[in-house]
Parts: sequence; C-alpha cells; structure tokens
Amino acid sequence: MLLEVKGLTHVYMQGTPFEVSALKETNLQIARGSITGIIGQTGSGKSTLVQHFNGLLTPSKGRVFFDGRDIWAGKTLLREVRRRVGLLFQYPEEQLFEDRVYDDVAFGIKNLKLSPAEEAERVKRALKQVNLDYQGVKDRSPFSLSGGEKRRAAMAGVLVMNPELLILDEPTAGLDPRGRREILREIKELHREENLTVVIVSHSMEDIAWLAEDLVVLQDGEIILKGPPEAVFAREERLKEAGLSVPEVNRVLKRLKEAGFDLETGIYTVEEAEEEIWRAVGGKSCEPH
Amino acid sequence: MSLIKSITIGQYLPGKSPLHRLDPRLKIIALIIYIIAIFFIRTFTGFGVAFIFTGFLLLLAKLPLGYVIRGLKPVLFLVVFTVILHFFMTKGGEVLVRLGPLTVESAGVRLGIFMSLRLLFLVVNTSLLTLTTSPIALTDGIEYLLKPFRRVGLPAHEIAMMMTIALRFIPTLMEESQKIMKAQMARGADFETGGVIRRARSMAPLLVPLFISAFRRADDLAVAMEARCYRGGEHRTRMKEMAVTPLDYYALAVVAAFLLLIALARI
Amino acid sequence: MIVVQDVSFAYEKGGEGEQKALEEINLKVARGEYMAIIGHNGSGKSTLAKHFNALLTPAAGRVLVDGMCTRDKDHLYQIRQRVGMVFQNPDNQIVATTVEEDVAFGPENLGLPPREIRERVEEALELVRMADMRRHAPHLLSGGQKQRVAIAGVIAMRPRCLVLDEPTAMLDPRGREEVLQTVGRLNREEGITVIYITHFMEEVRRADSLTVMDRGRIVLKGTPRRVFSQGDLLQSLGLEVPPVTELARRLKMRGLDIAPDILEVDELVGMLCS
Repeated sequence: MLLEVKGLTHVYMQGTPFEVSALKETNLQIARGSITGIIGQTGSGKSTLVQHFNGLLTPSKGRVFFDGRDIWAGKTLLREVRRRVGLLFQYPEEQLFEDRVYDDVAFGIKNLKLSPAEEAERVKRALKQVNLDYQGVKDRSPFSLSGGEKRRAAMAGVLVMNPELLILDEPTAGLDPRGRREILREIKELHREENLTVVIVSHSMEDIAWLAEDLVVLQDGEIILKGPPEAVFAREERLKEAGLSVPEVNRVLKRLKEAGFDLETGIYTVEEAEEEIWRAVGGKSCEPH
Repeated sequence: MSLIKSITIGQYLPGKSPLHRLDPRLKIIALIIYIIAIFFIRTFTGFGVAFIFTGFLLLLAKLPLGYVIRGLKPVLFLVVFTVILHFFMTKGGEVLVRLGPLTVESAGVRLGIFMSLRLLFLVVNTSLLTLTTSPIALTDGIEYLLKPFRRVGLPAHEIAMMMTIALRFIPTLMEESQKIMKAQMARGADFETGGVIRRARSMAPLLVPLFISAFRRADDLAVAMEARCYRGGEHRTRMKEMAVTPLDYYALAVVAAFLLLIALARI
Repeated sequence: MIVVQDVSFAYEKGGEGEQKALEEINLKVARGEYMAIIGHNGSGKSTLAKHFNALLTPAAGRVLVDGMCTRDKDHLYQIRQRVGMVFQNPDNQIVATTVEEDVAFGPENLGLPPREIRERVEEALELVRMADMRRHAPHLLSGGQKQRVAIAGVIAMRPRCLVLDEPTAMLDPRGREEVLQTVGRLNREEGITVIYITHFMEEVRRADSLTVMDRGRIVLKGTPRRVFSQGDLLQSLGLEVPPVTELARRLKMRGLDIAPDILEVDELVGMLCS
C-alpha cells in the first residue's frame, strides 16, 4: 500500500462550542499505481480527508501511513511526505505568485539545492507533462496566461516535485468544457505513462466515471461506499441518499435493461454506451435502419 | 471552517435584550462618556460604582458570562504587564515590599490596580457594545455621528461603507489566506522556521496571491454594486432607520445617574 | 424588452492595440422569455451581458432596454433597476454583513421608504426560499445559498429582466440545482425575463431559446432542441452537448432511427424501445 489511513477522525475547533467533526473513524487504502476517485457533496469531508494524506491537517484521532511509515512519527518524515505527495488544491491558479512561470513552477524544488541545469530540466519536464510549451511560457508572467493555462501551470508547480502520489481537489472546477477535457486527459496520461498514483476529488460523476478505477463515496464524514465504479454506480438509491447521481448514460442503460433489453449496465462513458446499445439493439433484432 | 470563528472580540451576539434594542448612536456616545469617566475615577468607591454599573449592563444584556470573560483573554497580558510596571516603577507612600534594589510602594499598588481596572472596564464595556450591536447598526451609528464633520470634508458615508465592506470580507479573506498557506505548504513552502528576514521573505507566496485576490474581489464588488444602482450616499435610504424610543431616554437617565455617582465618589 | 442592434465592442489593452470582444451582435429578447447564451471562455458572452444594463456601452451600434438607449445617462439607473444582474463569484457580490441587509442594498440605493424596502426584502427572500436565514452572515452560507441571496438582492429591485452571468460556475451540483430551480420559478411564476449565460449545456435544456457565441459573434440561434442537434458544430466550438444528446447523436450516425434533438434520458429510452 502506498497510503493507508486507519481510524482517522478529524474534529475542527475541538473544545469550542463550534466543534464539528468532519471525518469519523475513516479507513482507506490507496494502492501504488491506482487511480481513485473520491466523491461526495460539499461538506461531506472529501477535502478534509485528502489534506491528511500529506500531513497538512493533523488527525484528531487515527493514523496515516505513507509507504508503510506513520507520517506523524517525526518532523523530518513529514517534510519528505510533503515532497512525495503532491496536492493540488481547488482553483490552484490562485496560488501563483512569481513574476515568471519558470520561477513559479520551480518554487517547490528551490530548497533541494539542484544545479541550475537540473532545475531547468525538472521545470521543462513538468511543463511538458501539462502540455505547456517550455520556451513559450517560461518567461511570461503567470498572470498573462489564460484560465486553463494558469491552472495547468499551477499543476506543473506540483508535478515538478516528482510526487509519487498526486492528489487533485476538484481539478476541473470553473473550467469550460474544453479546459475540463484537457485537464482530465493530462491526468489520465500521467497515470498511464508514468504510473503515477492519482487521487481525484470531484463532484462531476461524468469526470470520475471516465477517469477513476476505484471509487470512494463520502457522506457526512463517513465512507459509505467503496469499490470499482460498476459496484458503486450499481447502488443508485444509496448514492441518491448521499445527494449524488449516477452518470446520465448509465441511467439510459439501466432503463433499457428494465425495458427488456439484454445489455451490460456497468457502463459510464458515452463511447462504451454507444457500442453496447448498438450491440443490444442488433441482438434484439430490432430493425436497424 | 477556521480559527476566526472562535474569536469573540468584536463579534455580535444577536438578541432582544434592552441593550440590544437601544439606539446605536446612544450606545456609542455612552461608551465614549463611560471611557472618559473611568479615567477620572480616583477612588475605590468610584470603581465600585463603575463595577455595579457594568454588572447591571451585563445582566440587562443577557449575555453568556463565559463568553464575555473569554473575550478578556487577549488583554490579560496587557493588564498583568500594567500591574507589574506600576508596582515597581511608581513611587510614593509607604514601602510595602523590598526585593533587593526594587521596592513596591503603596502609590504604585494603588495606581497599578486602578490602571488595570480601567483597562478591564474599557474592554468589557467595548465588547458590550459590539456584542449587542450588529455591525450594520454600529456603522450606521458611526455614519450618523460623523455627519457633522462632513462640512470639514470628512466623507462620513464612505467611511461607514468601507467599514461595512471590511467587516463583510474579513472572514472571507481569513479563510482564503489559510487556503493559500496550505496550498503553498503542499509545495514545500515553510512559514514557520528561519530568522526574521527569511520569514518575511517567505511570506511572499502568501501575500502576493492574497493581494491579487483581494484586488479582484474589490473589482468584482465594485461592478456588482454599480449594477445594483449604487451611487454613493446621496438618494440613499435605509431599511432600518435609527429611531429614538422611550427606552433610549431611560438609558440616558441611567448614564446621567452614573456620571453623578462617579462625580460624588470623587469628592 | 431588450434589443441589441449591430453592437461591437473592444477592450483597450495597454499598447497592444484593440481586441474585439463583440462584433456586430444583433439580438432581441422578448418580455417573459427565458434565453440562454452559451459559449466557451472568451467567446464574448460576459462582455455582452454587461451591455444589457449599461455596465458597458457599445463602441458601435446600440442597446435598447424598453426603448431606452443604454448610452443615455439620464436613464442609467432606470435601466439598471429594470435589468438586474447576478455574477459568477457568489462571494464578490454580497456587500453587507447579513442576508437581509444585503438584499436591502439595491432598494436602499433606489431611495425607497424604509417600510417598502422591508416589504420587498421579505418578498424577495421568500421567492428564493431564504427567509429563514435572513439574519445569517454571508460567509457562513453555502455557494448555492449565496447565489440565491444575490438573486434576491436583484429581485428586491423589482426588475423586469434578470441577467445571470455564469451563476453556477463555482457551485457544486446541489448549489447548481438550487440556482436553476430558483431561476426557472422566477421566470415561470413571476414572469421575469431571464438571460442565462453559461458554458454548461445541460443547464440550458429548460430555456425557450438558445444563442451560441464564439469569438465575439453569434454563431447559432434557436430552440435548445434545434441547437443541440448541431452536435458537430458545437463540438468544434469547444462546447459539449449533454451526454444523452451526444449518445443519441452517435447512435443516429450509426443508422438508428432516432431524432437528432434528444434532451432527456427518458426520451432516448422511449425512442429506443418503440
């Protein structure tokens, strides 16, 4: 296991009348090389959970293990964990601050005492990973980039640390469809080509269905469902209780099955649904026109 | 969710007590009078009067006492510091304690206690004002009281509007700064270690984004206000008008009685 | 209600010369209509939105609100009262420290008597279902609630038209649903004209008409059904039709007998079963 969370409880403002427990006795394992989607409504504890993965929040109770070691065992370990676990916050473009894109991306590796050539190499690689042209953007001000480019530059600022685990909190929030598709595609590529372990927090079922191999569903600080997408999306009623819905195309397939079509309902993307319906309609000897 | 929600000073606790219902203008003026008065008190009897008066107000306001006391915590250090300073530095009267070259004399004890009492009364009564007066009523009151100074060029409406907007956005910006801080920490920023200069320099990753965001918010807000027909203080009316009620006259009588007692206690 | 005639507009960018944000826009919004404008970021839709209530005035052409020209300074506040606007970021449009005081802000600017302001505030809060939270501080509300407060703040000015500029871009699905339902209800029950600007195609299914913008121009106009049936064109503009519509389009291309303008899950299922 790359990351393991045991009995994790988090209470905000403990000991005050404003006390709120955002996470209750949570257990979770993230395998190396996996890509996990965490879903749940706002306030369900998603962001609180992932901020424990790199020690930004201290557990009120319970433990977090990274690569088999308790991350709160020592101060030096925590620093190492922060480097090995990259966390990209919601609207990450709001954290850009340097005059040049290059410096902003390099911020995370400034205190590693790399040679200038090595540093440039890392920055170049990170920008390439998010499909930004190194020569084209390195000397530009991050604030002159477009919305989607800014977000990708911010993502490069996390990737530059070569994390083994990349956590993305709502990476597509506020982007238009084109920007959304680009970011999702880049994440998938990173996962596939570099075998990066990815955790993505989202409330877009379509995005999650397209990307994740494992799903974790949170409601009121508790994990209520866990497993591969087909197992989780099969529990439509339970998801509805948690204020979530299954992807639209999946609803089409389920309705068709109820109507007597013989087809597979564990499908969440438009492409696969197209194939399946085409097959089923042909199989039911409906006259293809 | 953040720390700021636990800070009590300057907060408002909604309620329906007589103190809540008083005209904010009266409350502000009464507070100013009270503060001036306690600096004229020279006797323990006088502080007794101030104590009874404050206690009476606290009871009237029906505030949770623990809440008010917690609000005193931030000034506790200042109070202790004042006491110590006066104990050792102010000379006069009999020598009470001798510690090597240092002496504590009766005048110092007296003044030390007086000063700390004044501080405590000042803080308690100021929080009484903020705890029982909504920020809007408070700014409305200030705006009204500043109006006479408009003739000398003081922009009373603008000041009040700025206060309102500041009050509105402080929590938002506090939350935002926490978020940015975490985001930068996630990519290796260190806000906690190093010397003064290093620490000041390490604030750039927090302050630059915070300022950029604040400016963007200001821009957005200006457009939104314009879209809602805002054109400064002229032509503007208010939903809640400040109106003097019989209650305010009673309060005025109480304040007058307090002043009289203080004056008597001085003699 | 609103007429846009040959409007062009350019932002002046320091030294870099002009950048055309709008080019020869012609548009008519009828009273009571629910019009949606879609386009990706930078298509000019927000610039257009700011023209509806004279936050911006056209460089060429003109915008008329109930016959009043937006360039006419005498009608400025009348126009802004009639055409209210809700913006993207829910935090950056709330001025006051409580919900009711914020809703009162607009009517106060109109110089109305206190009693009437109070009535309007109550009415507006009822309409957006936020009356129970009238004394709450804005920073303690959810995104959807904040946007509803912003809508109430505009409604309290008794506008005839409500312009919403990407009101759900920063909200979660629940908040988005809250806003959409509120807007739909205001249009249906109160007869308020709505101009709804977004880049989410699935939000505009309920609109009467749809205007698609790209690079400062209007490229497509029609009912949602008609516009959605142009899947290829929309895709080339960087827009996404709802998944069901996309699925229907693909199946139709494969030769199934399906209408090209499917909007809902049930419609597609119905067609496949018949």
